[in-house]
Amino acid sequence: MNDEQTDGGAGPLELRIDAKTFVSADGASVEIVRGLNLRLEAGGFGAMIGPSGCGKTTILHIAAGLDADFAGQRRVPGARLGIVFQEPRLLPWRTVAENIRLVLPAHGSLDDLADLIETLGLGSHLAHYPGELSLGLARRVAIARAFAVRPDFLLLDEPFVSLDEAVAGRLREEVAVLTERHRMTTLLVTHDLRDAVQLADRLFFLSARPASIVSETSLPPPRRMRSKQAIDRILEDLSTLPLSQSAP
Amino acid sequence: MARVLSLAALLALWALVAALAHSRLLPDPLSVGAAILADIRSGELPFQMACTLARVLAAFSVAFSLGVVAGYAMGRWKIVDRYADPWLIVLLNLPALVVIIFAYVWIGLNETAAIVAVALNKLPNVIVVTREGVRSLDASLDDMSRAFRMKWLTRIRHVVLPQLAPYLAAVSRSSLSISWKIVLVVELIGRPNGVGFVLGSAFSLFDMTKILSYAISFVALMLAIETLLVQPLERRTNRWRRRPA
Repeated sequence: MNDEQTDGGAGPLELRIDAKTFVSADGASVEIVRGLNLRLEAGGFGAMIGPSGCGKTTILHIAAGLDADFAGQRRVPGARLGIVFQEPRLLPWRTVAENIRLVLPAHGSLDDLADLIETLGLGSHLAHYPGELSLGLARRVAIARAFAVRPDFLLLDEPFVSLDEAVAGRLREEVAVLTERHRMTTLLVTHDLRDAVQLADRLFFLSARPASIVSETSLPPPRRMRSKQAIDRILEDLSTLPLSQSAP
Repeated sequence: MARVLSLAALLALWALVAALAHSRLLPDPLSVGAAILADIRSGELPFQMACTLARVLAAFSVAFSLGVVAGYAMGRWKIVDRYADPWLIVLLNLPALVVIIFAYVWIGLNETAAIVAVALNKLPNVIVVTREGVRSLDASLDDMSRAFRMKWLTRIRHVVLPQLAPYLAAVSRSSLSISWKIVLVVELIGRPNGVGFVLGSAFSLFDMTKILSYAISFVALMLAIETLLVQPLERRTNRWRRRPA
């Protein structure tokens, strides 16, 4: 049904989903995505914004290569994928350090990741089990794990949802710093326009089900450390676009 | 403390009933204890117990390793389950005695037959429990391990096995305790040594002291395995769980 390709180095992300359907529990088939066409330049930071339940996570799973059951084509930048799921998805029976180490390539070691662990403030938690962490900390571990593989391609699924604003704000800044430091192609999925505007340089607005891209727009660089005023100004501009009204 | 008291009460009750009955058919705890000591000193008891224990462990290892692999396959792939399930049901409902007789008749009165018979009796149980465990594996962790390209062995060891651990612990407990009971039957019918053989000959002589002394010794041995081996292992695999306050 679909072709899959990976580029050795830094190609763009190209995702074409002609159709994606699910068979629901009662046997009816539900169309989740139709005619979606997404292209993100190498090293770019894209954000998909859409209402809850519009199929964002499904698209992300397809982009991650976890779901091959769709009609279309997927071309991803580079072989190494880092992903932060909506829930932290840590192994509860392994410590924080082991959770990160397990995704590293055979010769990788945590010692090379001191910077990353420092930036995310995990130094004093490495020996803890995930059950002993707050949600905010567990999210950080999930983010550390995704960056630890030195990804060519990074996927973030609502990584700041259900955190209080102070924690989410700090985490957004840390992610901005990290994506800037290690050049990678990043796709963020969110329902929060503020998340998207603070981090991304390209926005994709999704329609309700079956999802497709209804508009896309580029934001001027620099994206890192975009000030609050700059974010407010961009949000102001965007609110004049009729299509972005669907995003809260 | 409660355990010790409760066991002491059981012993006292036994001594009391034995004193009241005053019969050769119910020896008192002291004479059973003396018989155990005498048989340990002569080397008879350790030898017979070692024979039985070796059969239990051999049959258990066969049933456990085959059962976990088959149960994993059946839990993971629907197609395997659909074809293998009827066999499983047949095996599950075949009486232990029938399997033992078949094994002795077809394979012969030898060690292989004894171990095959016990292993076949335990196998379906291991499969059923493992399959249940595999069906309840967390799909989201599976996705995670695939997304991060974890190696096959890493996934089994760090993602799958920890989730199966409670199921495997439960089934190895019940397997050990049931398979030693089946081993006794196998020995009674067709082996020249082992606890089952001794019990058989003691039964024909109405030697209740011997029967009690061997039965108690073997229960004590299994208790020791449970507390010294199974429980520490379980504590180790569960150390990540938050302890109840």
